[in-house]
Amino acid sequence: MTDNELIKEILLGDKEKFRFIVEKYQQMVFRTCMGFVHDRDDAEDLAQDVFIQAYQSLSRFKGESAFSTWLYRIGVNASLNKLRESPLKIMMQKFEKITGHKTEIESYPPVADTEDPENILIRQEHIEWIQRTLGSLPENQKTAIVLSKYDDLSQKEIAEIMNTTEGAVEALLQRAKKNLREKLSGKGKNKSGNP
Amino acid sequence: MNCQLCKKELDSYIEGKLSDDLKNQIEAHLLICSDCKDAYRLQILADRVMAAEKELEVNPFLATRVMAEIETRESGTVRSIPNVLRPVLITISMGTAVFLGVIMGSIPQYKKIRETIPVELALIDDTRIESIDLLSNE
Ligand SMILES: [Zn+2]
Repeated sequence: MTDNELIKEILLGDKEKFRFIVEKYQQMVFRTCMGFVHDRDDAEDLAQDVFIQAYQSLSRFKGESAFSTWLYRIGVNASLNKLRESPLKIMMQKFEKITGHKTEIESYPPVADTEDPENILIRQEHIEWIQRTLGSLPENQKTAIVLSKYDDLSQKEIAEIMNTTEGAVEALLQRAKKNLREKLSGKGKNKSGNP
Repeated sequence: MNCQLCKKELDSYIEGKLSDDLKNQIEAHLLICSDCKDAYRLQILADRVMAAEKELEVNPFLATRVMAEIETRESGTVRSIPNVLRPVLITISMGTAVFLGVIMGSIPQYKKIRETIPVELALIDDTRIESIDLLSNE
């Protein structure tokens, strides 16, 4: 059954079928929310809100875009709203929940002096620091980065979700990566001088 | 290779998107430039953090939670309506349902949608009923 067929049946009163929609898209929505809030519990609460919002406004989905595009938009908006609501609270969340990478390394960024990227180990403060840096990007850059890095979407797909052009998305991604690089190397470095 | 170009291409380098020539130039530069090498490591680190978050699996009970929440909200709104006002709501709902029914009934494809209307009306009217309640208390 296609998304549009499912939605038609839900709108006709078979609301239990909405469960299929949630099951199909829950990982996608959760991942997107995770990219914004970096906390598992918050991302799950947010994903739940996204689905409820989608359910309540289902009659407004006209099928002009893919259902996933519509759902991404709700997810991005809900995440941005959540961050606007209380950025400090979200950034201060308990980060240890999020990752299995608990190995220690000797130095704070810049990381241990090893030639092999596979040997770069991550510890808690790196994670927090990178999450804070990601969180400090302007909203549109952050959205483009999340949709690109967390959801593996093409620039064309991101452009559709963000209601802009592919060229604009490309520029946003470039700026976001440059911003990220500068913020990371500016804050994390204990060496000085640029060759 | 200068630092500006090297840093600009780091992302593509990490993703393995560069030509062999450019890749070799970057690798040669990374061997001699500690600043770019730091930038490279930080980028790897950022990618790893994002990849770790991306791989997290959603709680398999999310769908059950969502469906339960929808159920609660829908039944909750109906139950929260004060008993006294129920007849008023029912009258308004029925009146509106009949009105919409007449309109939608004239469009064949919308005939079945009428079945969902009472729930939506209950949601919409609930807020109105609450404000009426407040007013009548004054
Ligand atoms: Zn350099």
